[in-house]
Order: sequence, then C-alpha cells, then structure tokens
Amino acid sequence: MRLRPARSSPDLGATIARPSLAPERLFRARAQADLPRDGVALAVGLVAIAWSGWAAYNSLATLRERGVPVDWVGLAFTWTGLAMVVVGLVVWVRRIDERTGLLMALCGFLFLLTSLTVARVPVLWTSGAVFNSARFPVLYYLVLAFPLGRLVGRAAWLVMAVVVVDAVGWGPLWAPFTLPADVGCTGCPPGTNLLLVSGHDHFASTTFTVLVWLALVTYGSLLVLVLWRLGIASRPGRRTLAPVYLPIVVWSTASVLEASTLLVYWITFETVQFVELVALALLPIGFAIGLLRARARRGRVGELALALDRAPQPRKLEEAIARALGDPSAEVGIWSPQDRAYLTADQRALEVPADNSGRAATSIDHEGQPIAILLHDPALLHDTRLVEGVAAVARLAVVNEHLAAAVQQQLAEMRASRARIVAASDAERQRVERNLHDGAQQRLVTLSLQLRLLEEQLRGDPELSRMVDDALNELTVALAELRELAQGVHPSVLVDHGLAAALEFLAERAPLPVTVTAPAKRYPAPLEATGYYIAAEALTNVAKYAQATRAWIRIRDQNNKLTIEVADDGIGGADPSTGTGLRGLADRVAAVDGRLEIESPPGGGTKITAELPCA
Amino acid sequence: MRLILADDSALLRTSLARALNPEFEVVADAGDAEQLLQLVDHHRPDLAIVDIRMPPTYTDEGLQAAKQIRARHPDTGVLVLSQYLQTAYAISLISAGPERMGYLLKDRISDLRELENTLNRLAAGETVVDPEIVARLVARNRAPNRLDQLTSRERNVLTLMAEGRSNAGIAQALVLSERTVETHVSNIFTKLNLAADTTDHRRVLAVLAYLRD
Repeated sequence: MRLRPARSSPDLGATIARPSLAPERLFRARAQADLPRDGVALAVGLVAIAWSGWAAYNSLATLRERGVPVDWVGLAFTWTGLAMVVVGLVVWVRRIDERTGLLMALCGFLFLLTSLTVARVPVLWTSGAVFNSARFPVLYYLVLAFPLGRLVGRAAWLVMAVVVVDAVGWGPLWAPFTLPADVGCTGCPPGTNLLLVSGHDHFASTTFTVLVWLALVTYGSLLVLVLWRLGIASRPGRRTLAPVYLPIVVWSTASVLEASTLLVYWITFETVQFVELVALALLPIGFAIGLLRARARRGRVGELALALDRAPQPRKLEEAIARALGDPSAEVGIWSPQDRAYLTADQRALEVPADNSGRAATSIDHEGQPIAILLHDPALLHDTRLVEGVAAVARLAVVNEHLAAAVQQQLAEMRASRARIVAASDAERQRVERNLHDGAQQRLVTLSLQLRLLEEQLRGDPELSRMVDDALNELTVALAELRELAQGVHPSVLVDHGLAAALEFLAERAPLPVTVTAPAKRYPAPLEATGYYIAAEALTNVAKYAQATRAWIRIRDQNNKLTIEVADDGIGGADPSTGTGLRGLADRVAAVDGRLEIESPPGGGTKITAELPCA
Repeated sequence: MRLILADDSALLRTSLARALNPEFEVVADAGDAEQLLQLVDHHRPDLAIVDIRMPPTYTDEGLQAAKQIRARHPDTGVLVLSQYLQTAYAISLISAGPERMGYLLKDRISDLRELENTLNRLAAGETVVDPEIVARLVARNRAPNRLDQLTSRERNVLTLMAEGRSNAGIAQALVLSERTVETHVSNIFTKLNLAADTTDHRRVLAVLAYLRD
C-alpha cells in the first residue's frame, strides 16, 4: 500500500475536464436511429424511379405513335424530378441538411407530377394541369433559402409571394382554358381536360396575357434577387452559392426570354427552352455541390473550436476566427471593463463601425455583459449561421478564459491568505513564548532568588527554613515546566540559530535515536518554521505509534526546493486521514505552496517527505 | 571579584547584588546590552553576568554582547544566564573563546553557593556549561551508541569535561587523584577517537561537538 493522501496544492489550473463521450457509442446510437430512415428513403426512391420510368415511357410512347421529335420537355422534367428526389433523399439520410433534403424530394415529385399531363387518362391529365406550377414555390423556396435553410430578407418573402400567386394562376386558374393537345398530350381529345371551359376566348386571352406578365415578373424577380446576392457575397460565400445560383441565373434568364416570346415573337422558342431545360437538369447537381460546400464551411466552426481548444491566446483567436469566416480582414476585440472598450490582442481599442462604413460588427454578449466584438466583411451578415457559429465558439473561448482567470486569481488569493494565516499563527506562538520567558519566567526567577535570601535570614529557625526550601524546590520544578512549555510553543533556537540547530534540539529530546542531516544554512522564516513543525509533528507520531527503534531527519536543498524527510524503521501503516496531526501538516505545507507525501507500507516504516519551494 | 550585572529586571539585579557574598562586588549594573558594553569598557570588571534576553528584541542580545566583550576584553569573564536549555546557544557562545566563558540556566541563580562556585571557576580561567545541557547530551539516544564503550567512571569524567571542568576540577569533584583523571581522559579520547592533544579549554568544544554529532 502506498499512501499519497495530501497533494497539498490542487492544480486547478492544469486540469480542465474534457467531455468523455466514447465515439463508438455515438456511432452506434446514430446507426440505430438511421435504420428506418434508410428504409424510408429507399422506398421513396424506388417510387420515384418507378414513376420516372412510367413518365419516360409515356414520353417515348407519344414519340412512337406520332412520329414527332423526342418529347425533350417531358424527359427533362422527368430527369430533373428524379434527380431532385434522389439528391434530396441522400441529403436527408446523410443529415447534410435534413429540411432542405425533404423539400428537394418534394420538389422532385412535383416535377414528376407534370408528367401526368402526358398521360391519356383524363383524371391524371387534369390533376397534372391543376398542379402544373406547384413545383415553382417549392423550387423558389429552396433557392431563396439556400444555404441557410430559411428565408432572410423582405425581398425573398416578396418573391415567394409572387411565385405562389404565379403557381395558382398557371395551375388551377389556367387549367380550365388549356387544351390537352397543347400541353404534353399530343393528339388527345379536348375532353381529356375534365375542367375544360370553352367559349370564353376573350377572357381566356386576357387571362393568358396577365399570366405571362406574372410569369415574367416571377422569373425576373428571382433573377434580380439571385444576381444581387451573388454580387454582395464574400468570396467564400460566393463559392457556396455558385453551384445553385448559376443554373438558376441561366434558367430564370431563359425563362424570362421564353415567356417574352409568348407576348412578342422575337427569338426561337425552342432554342431558349433548350437552354432552360439544360439549366434545370443541372440544378439538382448544383444543390448537391452547394449543400456540401455549405456544410464544409459550417465545419470551419468546428475547426475553430478545435483551434481555440489548442491555443486560446487572443492573437490566435483572431487568426482562427478570420480563417473560419474566410475573411482575412476580420478583427476581434475583447471587452475590457476597465477601459470600457473592446481591445485587440495588441491592446488597441476597436471602433465599432458605423452603418454603410464597409465594415460590419457582430457583438458577443454573455448574460447581458459585453464579451467581445467581431469586425468583418458586411457580406458575411447574410451567412448568419456561420457568423453565429463563430460567435458562439468565440464566446465559449472568451468566457472560459475569463473563468480560468477568475479561478486563478481566487486560487492566488486563497494561497496568500493561507500563508498569512500560518504566518500570523507563527507570530502569535512567538509572542506567547516571549511573554512566558520575559514575564512569568523572569518573575519566578526573581522570586526564587528572593526566597533564597529569605531562607538565609531564617537559618535560626529550621522549621521555617525547611518550608522555604520546599517552596524553592517547587519553584524550580515550575520553572523547568514553564521552560519546556515555552520552547514547545515556539523554539527560540529556530529564530536565532536556524533549522539545523532546531532539529538538533528536537533530536536531543526525542525518546529514540534520531539522526539529523541538515545543512547549517538559514532559510526564509516561513520555510524554517514549516520544516521544524513537520519534523516535530512527525517525531511525535513516531514516538506515539511507530514502535520504531530509530528515526532520521534529512534536510536537502536542491533545485530551489527544500526537502524535509522524516523516516523511521517502525511498523508503518500510518493513515493520514485519521488524526489531525498529519492533516495539520498538509495545511502547513500547502500554505508555502509545497507538497507533502506520506509513504507508510505496513511493516515497512513510515516516511514523510515535504517539498517546499525556496527560490 | 568585581562584577557587572546585566538584566532587564532591576529587581533581579538588586536582589542578586544583595544576595552575593561580599567578596563579589557588583561595581555596576545594566538594563540592556548597549549600556552593558559601555560599563564594561569603563569599569573593566573581572566578570560580567549577562541575561541572554534583553531589550530591544528579547532574543539573544546577551549572547551577542558576550561575544563582543570577549572580542574587546579577552581577560574579562562572561557568564550568560539563559532561559534556553539548548546546546546551540552554549556552543555558539563558547566558540568565541572558551576561556572564562559560562553558559548557565538562569534558574540556577537561586542556588547562590553554586553560583558563587561557578563565578570562581570562571575567574580561575575555566569554562562552564550548564550540567543539565551536558546531562541531556550524554543521555541522548544514539544509534549506534558509541558512549556504550565507556565505563561509568569514564562517562562521569566525560560529563565533567563537557561541563568545562579542568582535570583538577574533575579530580576534586570525583574525589580522585589528578593522575587517575588524566588516565581516564586519555582512555576516553582513545575510545572515542578524539584528537588527544586538545588543551583544557579547546577540549570542551571538542567533547560537546562529539556529543552533539
């Protein structure tokens, strides 16, 4: 058994608890939760493939019967729909962005829905016509919410409103005026459209014109918004947006041109439509790339956390944040309550930039108190998720550092106060010792002298003389006891002659042979007192419990450390948790920032070692 | 014999001056070390009796003053009265020059005859170390105990040597002839492996250091 009870100074600064979640367990838990998700995705994917197969067959069947060119529109829509469903399901299953994944799958099915208009079955054709434009709101939402997964800004909401109106217009509103032969169902009788209304040509023509204008506004507004966003985006932000926004720019441009040909014939409808369909077909791939890039970008928040965990210094903080934001000009200021300002790593106060100054600020607060501020490219404000993530990590880092500093300060104060308490107690012992010597003892010595004089006067009276003699003997015993008491309270030799002499004094009075090895050097008073009391307490324990035949006191001073070692050849098995003596030693050692170790194997003697720093 | 007394208690000084036999003339008394040194310079007494604790710090001013007296007036004897039963002080004092130097527990001044005896020994050039300190050193537990090889008579001789007595003093105390004492001393030095050529005064230190080690 090896006892190491009283590590005197708790190294609070050095040990920071780390989360201890076993990675294997996390993976297992995820795998279990994913099982139904995989199944659902597979089933939905199979449905989409079957549906696409059917739609493609319909497109090609039309071709075979009529001998007309390939129904590229139908096939392109089928491809886009299927690809959207597949990419969406993968995004959902892989948890790249679950909501966006599901919306993509929905959007894909809405694309597939348009293939119903190829069907020659009236009910299917009619439903296809009614839901003809339902895909647009979902598609717009996906584009406008990319890559955050939510709409940001009034413009986006406005475009959403427009596209919803557009979808209702071209869907349920326009369906009654549509001839099946014009939309996908070449050679179908008018009766295939169950909702068909005839005889309102003027109304239909006016409605059509309005709807075409509406379509122009819908495509146009998307084009403008997307171009604007690309323009203001930071470089890394643009890299994320491009895979989705570039196909959308091409597609909406082509769609605007295509719609315009419905009003004025000025370019070939088919040419524009071809470009539009290619752009559309590329869109699902664009989403896949864009979402992966967005995730990689968000992953930088994690990298930031790792970087700060390794090196939490202020300058590193700024570098790591600039890297995470992809903005080399980013600056970090830590709030200084004394200066009432945000200070950079080189103690420069950061000005909070005014609006439209070309700089943006994100402030980081904690419980209503300012913590820090990030100055960065205003374009990053649109990537709120990234900035929020970075801010959250920075907050953790700074708050953590504040806490660590506070703990360190408290620890230092606690050490100082502990040292003061011990010093005060030593001073008090010394005071008591002096009072005993210079007060009581001095008076008793004088008294004994006077009694001796009295005794000499009483030589003629043996009776009285004997009584005085008895009193003198009693007084001699009292003086001896008082002397021992005073030396026990505080050995004057420690102050006057140092530790080695004081330890000799202990050894001379010990009831067993004690060998003292100590350099005849002087050390700071708190160290000498600590060393002395450790040896005194240890020797007391040896005498009381150890059944030892010998003991050793060794003092070494090496490498700015004063080591006090008290060993005996007794029975060992000392338990420092019982009895206040050893505990008191631990406190005393801790007060001078030292370390106490007790080794006491049963039958193997006891060794108490104290290491005291003495720089 | 002309004496100077130094103790911060005036009552003790006057009591002691009154109690001593008229052959011991107290020519002056001092309340602190500084005054003591001036008086010694002025009166050149045979002997100074000095309390170890005096103003202003009440630690070992008396000890320091004794060493200064020894340095300035090697012929003046000094008896330090101490509350401390500690070898370190005694050795520190005697190291300044053992001749006519004494370290005695203060309690002992009530035994006036013994005190006068000590003063006479000092005046005769001997060294005095308090018997209680020596007794403790001799009785101290040692492993291995080298003193075990001494006979009980040799132990007694060793103790008296450590107390600072001369061969004549030892012979008187143990009621032996001086020649016998010399034989014992020589045997002790051989057994304990001490340098035999040590003179009377220096041997106190040698023996004390041996007992302490």
